[in-house]
Amino acid sequence: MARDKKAKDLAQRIDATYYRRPHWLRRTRFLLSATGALFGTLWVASALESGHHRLFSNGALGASHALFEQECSRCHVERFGPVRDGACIECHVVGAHLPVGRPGEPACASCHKEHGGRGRLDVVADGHCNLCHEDHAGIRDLKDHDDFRPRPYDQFLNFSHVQHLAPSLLEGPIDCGGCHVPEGAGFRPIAFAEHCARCHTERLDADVGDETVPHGVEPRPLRDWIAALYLRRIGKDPALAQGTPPDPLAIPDWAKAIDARTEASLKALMQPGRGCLLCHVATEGRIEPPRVPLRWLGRARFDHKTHRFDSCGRCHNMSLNAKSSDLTLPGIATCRECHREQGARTTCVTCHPYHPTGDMDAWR
Amino acid sequence: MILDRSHRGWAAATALLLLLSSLSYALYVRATPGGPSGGTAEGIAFGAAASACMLFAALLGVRKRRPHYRLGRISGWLKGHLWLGALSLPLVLFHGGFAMGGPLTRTLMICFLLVFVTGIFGLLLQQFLPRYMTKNVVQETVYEQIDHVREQLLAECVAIAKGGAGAATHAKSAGAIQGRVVTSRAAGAPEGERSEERAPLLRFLDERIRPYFRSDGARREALAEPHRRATLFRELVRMLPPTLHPCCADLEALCGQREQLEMQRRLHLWLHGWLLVHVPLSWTVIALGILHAVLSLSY
Repeated sequence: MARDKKAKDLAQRIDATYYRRPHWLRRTRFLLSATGALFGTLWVASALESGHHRLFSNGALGASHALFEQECSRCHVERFGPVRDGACIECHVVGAHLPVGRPGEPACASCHKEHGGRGRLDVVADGHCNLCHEDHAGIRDLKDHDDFRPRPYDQFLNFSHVQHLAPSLLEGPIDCGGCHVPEGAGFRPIAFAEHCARCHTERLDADVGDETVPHGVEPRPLRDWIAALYLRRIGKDPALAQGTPPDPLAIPDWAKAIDARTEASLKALMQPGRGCLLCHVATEGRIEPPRVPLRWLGRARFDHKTHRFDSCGRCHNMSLNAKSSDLTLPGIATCRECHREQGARTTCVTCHPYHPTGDMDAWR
Repeated sequence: MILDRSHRGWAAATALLLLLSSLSYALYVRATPGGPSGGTAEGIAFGAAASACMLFAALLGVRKRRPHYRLGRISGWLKGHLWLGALSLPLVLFHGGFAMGGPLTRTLMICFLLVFVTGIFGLLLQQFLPRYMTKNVVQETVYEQIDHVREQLLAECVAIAKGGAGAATHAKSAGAIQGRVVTSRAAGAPEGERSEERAPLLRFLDERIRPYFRSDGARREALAEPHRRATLFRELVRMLPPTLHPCCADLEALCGQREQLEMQRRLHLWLHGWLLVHVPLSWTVIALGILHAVLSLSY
């Protein structure tokens, strides 16, 4: 019996119900899809359950916040809402940039971007400043910055760095660090007793011996101190006690002598270029207290500590400072030697802190 | 899906959307001093757009399972899957500001990139494998029926070898497809044929043909190679009387079909195997993406 295979016979090789049966490729695909989705969900759920919230953090916290990397609720106080400033000022007390009550103070998180890795959060891009200060005399970065304009302070002090650094000094030239003792970002204020008294001791005439004139006292107490000094000398020098009057109400000669010696001593101390006025400035017979500012640039900060790797002379040419009014503040060109592209930072906030500190002029 | 002129509309629309989104991103970066991030309004907008593209791409699988729904042609959906899926990559990068973020987002990004790469790989395969199959696998059958057809071919071989004589083979051509279709006449042994004359044929059936048809690793069998197969059958023909020579030709043709079925299986695995990575990872991305969105918005 012959049986020829025609096209119909060939077609009948196919089981017409094949699509109803699961195929391994489709089944495997489905199983893998379900497993993948389920595994992902369980992964996140287990992290939520076990408190490993770092898993779904959008990036590592900045170095200063790394300690509470797992404590999301420290900053994310509200669910489904942005981080409020209240969470920041729980720990950070900073001055307001804008005057109190003036609207528009940006939120902390708008400049201090978290979850950007272990960087410094206080390094803020210039763009944040330029959002408001776009018309800031055309300054958009350090390249456009004008030279520094230190305020014309009257220091009420006659001081010459040239003289003090001269090699001809009796005790040799003074080292910068001999007077400028680092403290914090700047230096400890210059104190007479600590920095000047060793050389600048002021004595009266030889009659009163080696007593040195006290520094920093008001004129009246100074006069009393000098008078008392001469009075003490009466016992030692009988010549001063001669001429005692019989009338006890009359002013004795020795008292007049003390007054005269006191006045003469005070006059000697106040001679221009000598005594007190060697360094100090007097107005109307009164010594003005020196007013040497700790900061010369009111709207910027300079951290000497971070620049301690270099010598003072690199920035300050003290040979130009023959008198106090000769400022040796370096120009911005000196800063640009290091603060440039591929060099030290050039951002606005490197020098101009957004949050003014107590010893700075307010921006406003 | 072959990339042809019919894709021009989708390609142009995608290019336009890419241009617009790139411009938006450039403006966004310019206006954001601290750099872009996914948490800003613009970042969320990019993320939402990318999610929408991904969801549309994922819905292709659902659409394929409901072919009778009047929701546009499946080929249109496939084009959308292709082009919107491609657009989702730049949108995702814009969303994250070209950063990988934390562990979850990094995992999400890696999975998404794998989905993208496997998709491109699959697209490239589909540009030439179907044509190659059409040209080289003329006996192509439904992939799921390969085992079924193989069993039937083996049954035919057995029938031919045991009692078959007078089988005939001829060539058919239809269009560009050319091949050999076996038409066999299964009949009892011709009169006067001695059983010992058929013995080499039966031995060949048991030793060569059955293992070849049953072996999962059919490529390792000697019959899998056309030259060796021809040699083996030539040797078989020499051992058989002329009356059984047509049977040998039929068997050789059936072995050729078996070879084509094996080639079809391999090509099919290449053509669809990438989906074993692409589809599961896609659903993983969808699941993790939803979790990422909810968790990110909640914080």
